[in-house]
Amino acid sequence: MSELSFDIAFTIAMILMLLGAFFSLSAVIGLVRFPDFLTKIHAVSVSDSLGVPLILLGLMVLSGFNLITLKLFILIILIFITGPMVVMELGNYYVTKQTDGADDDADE
Amino acid sequence: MIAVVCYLLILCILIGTIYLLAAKSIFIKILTFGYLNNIIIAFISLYALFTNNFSYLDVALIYAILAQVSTIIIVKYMRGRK
Repeated sequence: MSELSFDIAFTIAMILMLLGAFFSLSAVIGLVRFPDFLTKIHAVSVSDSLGVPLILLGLMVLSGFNLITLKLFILIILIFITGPMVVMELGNYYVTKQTDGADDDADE
Repeated sequence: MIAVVCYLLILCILIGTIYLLAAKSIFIKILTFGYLNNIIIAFISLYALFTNNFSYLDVALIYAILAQVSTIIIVKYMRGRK
């Protein structure tokens, strides 16, 4: 990789990683500040589907095209599939429990 | 720039850990736990690439599989339990 193309790749990677870190931070701020559980889920799912994958995408751009890129790609796919699945299961469970009228303390 | 990304991720982990310990609801605890898992995976990957220590990438991969699957299993178990 020449010097110029490495600089361009580094800049793109940094932008992607900064965006990912920003989305992750906004997710944790939403997690703390939002009032009830369903809105907290909304905040956290941003990190699952956008924050962490953007950071890993930035690392992929930085590492070039090799076995590390493949591992990072598998990691992105894994997080992209299982993260929203966890949040959906949790949301379903919460709604089911609310519908049943069971006593719970989800809203602080 | 890399340091900024690292600082932001560490801040996320710190706030998430404090909130995990402070939250009263089990729903919010599990949600925060899942969020923290994702951020830790990103942080381990970042560490692996910037220290050229690529075996940590395998650690991140295995950690991701175990953490996500275990979280799903916990939620499924709690749903099934009456």
